[in-house]
Amino acid sequence: MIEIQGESVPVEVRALGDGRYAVRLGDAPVREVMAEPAGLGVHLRDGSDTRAVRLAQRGELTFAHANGHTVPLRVLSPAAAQRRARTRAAAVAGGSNVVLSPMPGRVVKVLVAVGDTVEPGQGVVIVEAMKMENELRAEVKGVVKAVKCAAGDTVEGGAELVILAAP
Amino acid sequence: MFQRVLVANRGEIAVRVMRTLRDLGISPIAIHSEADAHALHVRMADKAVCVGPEASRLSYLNMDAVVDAARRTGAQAIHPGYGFLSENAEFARRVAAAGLVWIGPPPAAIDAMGDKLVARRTVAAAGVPLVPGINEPVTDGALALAVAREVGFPVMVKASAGGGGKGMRLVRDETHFAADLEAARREASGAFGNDAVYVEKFVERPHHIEIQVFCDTHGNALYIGERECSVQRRNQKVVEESPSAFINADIRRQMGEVAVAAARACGYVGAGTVEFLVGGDKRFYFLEMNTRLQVEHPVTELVYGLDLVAWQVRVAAGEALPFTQADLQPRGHAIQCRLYAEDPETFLPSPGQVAQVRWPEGPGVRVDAGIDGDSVVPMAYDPLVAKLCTWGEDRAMAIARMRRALEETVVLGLTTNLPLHLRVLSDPRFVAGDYDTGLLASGVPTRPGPDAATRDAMLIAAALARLAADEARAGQRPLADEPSGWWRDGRRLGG
Repeated sequence: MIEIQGESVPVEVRALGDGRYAVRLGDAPVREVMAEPAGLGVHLRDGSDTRAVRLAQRGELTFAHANGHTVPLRVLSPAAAQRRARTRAAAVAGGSNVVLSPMPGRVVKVLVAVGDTVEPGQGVVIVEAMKMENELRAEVKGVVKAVKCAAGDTVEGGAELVILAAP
Repeated sequence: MFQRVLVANRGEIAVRVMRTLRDLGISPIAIHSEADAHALHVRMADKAVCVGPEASRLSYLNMDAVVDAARRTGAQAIHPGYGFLSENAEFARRVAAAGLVWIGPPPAAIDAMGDKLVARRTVAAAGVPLVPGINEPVTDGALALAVAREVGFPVMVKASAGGGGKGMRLVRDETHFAADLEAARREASGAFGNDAVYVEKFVERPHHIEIQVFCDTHGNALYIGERECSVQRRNQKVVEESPSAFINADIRRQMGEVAVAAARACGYVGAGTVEFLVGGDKRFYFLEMNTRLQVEHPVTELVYGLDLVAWQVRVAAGEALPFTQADLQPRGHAIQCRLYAEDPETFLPSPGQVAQVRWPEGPGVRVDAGIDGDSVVPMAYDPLVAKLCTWGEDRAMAIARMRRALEETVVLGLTTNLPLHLRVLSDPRFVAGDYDTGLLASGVPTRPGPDAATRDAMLIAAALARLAADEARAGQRPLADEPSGWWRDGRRLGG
């Protein structure tokens, strides 16, 4: 399963030898393409149509570049795809009660304390990266259950900073 | 001429300055923080000195360490680039006191123009039109609010020592004033070590047009055309061009003469920029003078056929400018796109390890990059990673080349604002040259994603890469010629 631009597409490939591969994307019929490793990516030929795709891996994301477009992809095993689907469904149902750092950065100021009631959209933490401050806001109404950072802390992208409980 | 010059900066501007130093036969010397030990600017220098840990205030802003690095490496002069210590008069004085040449304006000129409040008073005395506001730094919240009320909302709160959009906030009404004032002062303090701010009326929908000035120590003071810098986000420039599509030759001359008068008034030497707000009626107001090279200087270099950094170095070495005002005629059109390591939708920074880079090439293309495929972009510094510039015989060709250059550009591993540039370059208002500083805030057209065939190719390539990685792990050659089993969903199914 490959996630691309918010869609999940089942992908199957099989090597046929001599640089030929059988490929099936989603429900489309199996087709044959020529592929060879080309520098930092893959050079594909489908009849006379040729396309160079550059690829790079960063963590669990694969970045693909072709024809002036850069797209992040996620190549997932079936088990990983199911796990992600469950997490997503939970997040969609009512907003997250965990305020995450959207990027690596430094905590400038914590605007709430344990026990405070916060409204949706209320700023809870200010994180600075690359000289710009970003105010992180609560997505839901709630009571601050835990503050997992302090001013001056360096945090990773995706780190949990503040956890809210139902009011 | 100098034999060795220390570049007191990092990233793309350090690399750009070093290239000119080499063109002039001068050996470039780098400084770096611990986080930048393997940065591109370090790899391009003949010598490099670590001046401290990652935090700027302990390394790139550490005056004693920077001057000491110059002394120890036998540098005869220091080029500050832009940002960091470039507009710090005390640093300029320390450089001179250490017996080194400061490649920049005299400290007194930095004092007069570098402090935005002193600058306002200086040019007001010369009769240059100003935007209404206060000419005193404000540290008291109640006083700041009183000033804001007096000139009327919306107002701009700006760092007195600032530039580059840092420590700057647009405040539309009183409710957010206190919070925005505090944020501006914190940013100002962090970026410039000085939390003084001032308050001025915000002119709605203006153009931001600036004049390049250049002065030598022999009494020559010239203007080298204008740059249109109205494509901005949160007062940070994103796309710049020269000439401006908005003003004509007559207004260029008027603005140029005012800019030169301002430079002469403070005894300016070297490259400087006088920034103006230009209203819809083409009346212009002095905004500030930047006493350094600007990020967008390449568009001026491209249309005037000059290397401004080379002239900074020559003027610092005592040479006279060999051209006159009449010699300086623009030829063609140039555009610059600032490539930032930030998300084009959310504008969140995206520091980290670069996985792969390919820069555009070919006719009319210039790239000033601070990263390559081996670089790490640290979170502690500015997100500007490269400047992509194109030149064309006319504006339409410069735009066409920029679109082509942007599509050739590959930066993988980081999220960059490259897609935003493609959107700006296809906005009908931008293409027509009919836009002001409200362009980005009003929304530029979205860009269609890759077509179906391109998307399919990406999916196939990603799957093949996974197949190759799996087989490599299993001890086989990647993309092996031998037939292999079906691969699906990250697992081999046997076969």
